Amino acid sequence: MATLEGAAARREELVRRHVEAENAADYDAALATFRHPRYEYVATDEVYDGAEQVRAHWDELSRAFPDQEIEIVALHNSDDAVLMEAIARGTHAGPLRGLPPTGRRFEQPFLAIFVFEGDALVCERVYYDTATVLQQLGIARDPASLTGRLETAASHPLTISRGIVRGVLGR
Amino acid sequence: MAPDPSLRRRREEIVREHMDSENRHEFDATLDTFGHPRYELIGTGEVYDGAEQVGRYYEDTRRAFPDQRNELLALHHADDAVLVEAIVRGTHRGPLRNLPPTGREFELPILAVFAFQGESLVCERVYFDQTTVLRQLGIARDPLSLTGRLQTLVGHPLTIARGLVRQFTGR
Repeated sequence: MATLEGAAARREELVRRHVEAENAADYDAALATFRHPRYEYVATDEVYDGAEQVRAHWDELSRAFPDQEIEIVALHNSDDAVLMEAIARGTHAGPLRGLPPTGRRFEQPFLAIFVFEGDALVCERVYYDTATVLQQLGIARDPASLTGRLETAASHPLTISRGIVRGVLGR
Repeated sequence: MAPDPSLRRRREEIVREHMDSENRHEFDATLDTFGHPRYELIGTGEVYDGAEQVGRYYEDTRRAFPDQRNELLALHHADDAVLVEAIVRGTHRGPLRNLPPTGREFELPILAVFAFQGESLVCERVYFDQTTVLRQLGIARDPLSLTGRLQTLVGHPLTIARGLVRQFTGR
């Protein structure tokens, strides 16, 4: 029992160092917290595997959001993972995949699963809502809002009219 | 203090019955798995608190997706929570807020934090990606794809123009 709690404490300490290094944009230190660097983004199916891909991913993020910062909300220790509820904040001050900077700020709650093998961090798997960021940057609208509904109707006339026909016919 | 084996077992039974009863469409049984019924949907900021609100939430989602079901992928025991990775699937056969049914199916990975006080379930907090659902229903596009970017340009000319100006003037 004592050793298990010791291992959990070591994993939690490593996760905190990982987040601090990212916040300081010290990517050498962040990379060094992994035995095997790997990111998995569940929403977009993106995977960055190995030091080179992970580094390129961080470079892309810090170019788009140079002031990005992560605030830890809660850490949950399980047998082989640390699950972190957190909020990322930043300003869209650089290009993001062909989208020019909007100068807007975002605030994004997310959950990251830090997967361990023993004491070694081997993967960070991230759950987040892409719509939250894009709405805050002003490049997507909530389809349930009025302007969002009008826009959806305008840009997806076929899907919606099929849906209306189905609704009226009851099938 | 890590939960002892019998508390873990009890919590896991509650979480599994919660998810199974949803699949059986026995929402009274699902409601009964809570000591205090409460949902927090992180992507949308929605909170449903108390039996009445949670009951209505079940009705709304099942009207939109009558065949909605979940599949448990992984379960993580922490000190005061059980965290579940799962996939939710369903067919859009009824109105979703004001969006008419499209007849399309979705498949959505989620992470649910089942928060416990002792052995009492007091909240289910869900992390998921709205865009994943909306894209599969055909009512939103990935703004970073080519058609998505064109649509963004058409739908958000002001934001994009401001961004371009900022990029060229370097501020």
